[in-house]
Amino acid sequence: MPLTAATSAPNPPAKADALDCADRTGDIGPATDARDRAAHTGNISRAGLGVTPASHYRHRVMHALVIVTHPARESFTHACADAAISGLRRAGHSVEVLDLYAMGFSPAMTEGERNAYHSDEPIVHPHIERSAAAIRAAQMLVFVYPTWWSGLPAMLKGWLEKSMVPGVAFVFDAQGKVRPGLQQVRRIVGISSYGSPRSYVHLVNDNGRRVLLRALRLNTGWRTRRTWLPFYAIDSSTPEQRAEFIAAIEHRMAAL
Amino acid sequence: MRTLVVYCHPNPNSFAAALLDASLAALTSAGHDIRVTDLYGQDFDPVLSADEHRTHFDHPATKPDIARHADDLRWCEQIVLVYPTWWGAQPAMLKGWIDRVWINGVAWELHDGANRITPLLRNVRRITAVTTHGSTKLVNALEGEPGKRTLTRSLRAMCSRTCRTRWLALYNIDRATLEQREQFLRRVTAALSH
Repeated sequence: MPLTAATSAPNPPAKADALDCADRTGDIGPATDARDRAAHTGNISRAGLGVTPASHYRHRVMHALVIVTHPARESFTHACADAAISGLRRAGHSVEVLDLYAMGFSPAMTEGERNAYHSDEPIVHPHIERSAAAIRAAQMLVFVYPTWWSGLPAMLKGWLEKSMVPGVAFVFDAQGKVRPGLQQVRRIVGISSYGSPRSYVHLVNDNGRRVLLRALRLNTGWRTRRTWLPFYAIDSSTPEQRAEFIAAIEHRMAAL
Repeated sequence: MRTLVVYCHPNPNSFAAALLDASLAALTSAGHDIRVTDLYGQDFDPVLSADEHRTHFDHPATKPDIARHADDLRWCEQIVLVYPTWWGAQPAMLKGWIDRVWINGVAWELHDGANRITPLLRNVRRITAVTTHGSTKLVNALEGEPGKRTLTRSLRAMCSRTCRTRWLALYNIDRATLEQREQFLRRVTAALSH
């Protein structure tokens, strides 16, 4: 069973976000107790922080695009997304949400789309048109997804490939070199669950994070900031730890 | 060796298609036993559904959609992946094949009470990637080579302990000359001919 549906009523521990353990060979040791585990996984926690009113935050209000990728609405990923959205709204940001599975997004780039990629009209589908408009309007990109095989789920990877086309994410200059096109994006945020503990994620290079915070980041302005909020070792986590992480997400997103 | 070739590109006139032809010719001449999976050709669905997610820990025999792919993985000694690198990593179509086929009971299993998984593809002794990058090697290094590490670390961990990996890549293809492309085809042919 996938994970917690809501912050207030986490499900009993189960084989958690099942797929995540696909790359879990890192050994976190048998019978690790909760305290050791918390130290080991390095997940963030709210550390007793209460609800803070929006007026407390001094920052520029932004328009955020939240891209959520998970097949099950009752998943931990969706609970994280809901918390992130509520945190952003509390801090006064405006939020647009793209739920890729709910949209029925088709991630495989088709022959027609590939052929149109280098033309003047690379956008050939209403889903892409909607995504491209949302990307152009966004000053903050927030990705919420489970890490599978150390990378992005195919659904999200396909969304990047098909939405971040020439004219949206970058342009080719006269020499055919890629020039950044996401100058308006001031921050990229990733919120992801992992089956593996942090040590193993680092060992295999944390590839999804590198795609978003490096490959995509190269197409933004130089001052674009990056925020990474990982939840490691989800398969051996307790409902309390997951609930605490979700609360921490809301707080962090409100305090960006 | 028993060789599984997985090919991923939507366009039959692409350079990736030429790489597939060169790879198959070289593997055949070397006498390997070959099976080919053309993901676009067979209209593979890369989306892992809510149903599949829910039944993730069920036995793979209950999932007829991926039975043939799972059988190929258990059969092969060598995997050759031919694909373009997009956004630093495998295209969604190929990533979807990994997400949906390298599942519990096929690539790994998690025993009751264990907190680490047991790799199941000990039969795979070699993984070869034949790929192209639009960007330069320097840019890929800055990005941390996510596509390469996904194969050489994440996937390799499910294979034989002595599994070797080969990375055959043409960087900066956006600005490559015809001569450079032909040279890369010769390199792929030479590498897969023995």
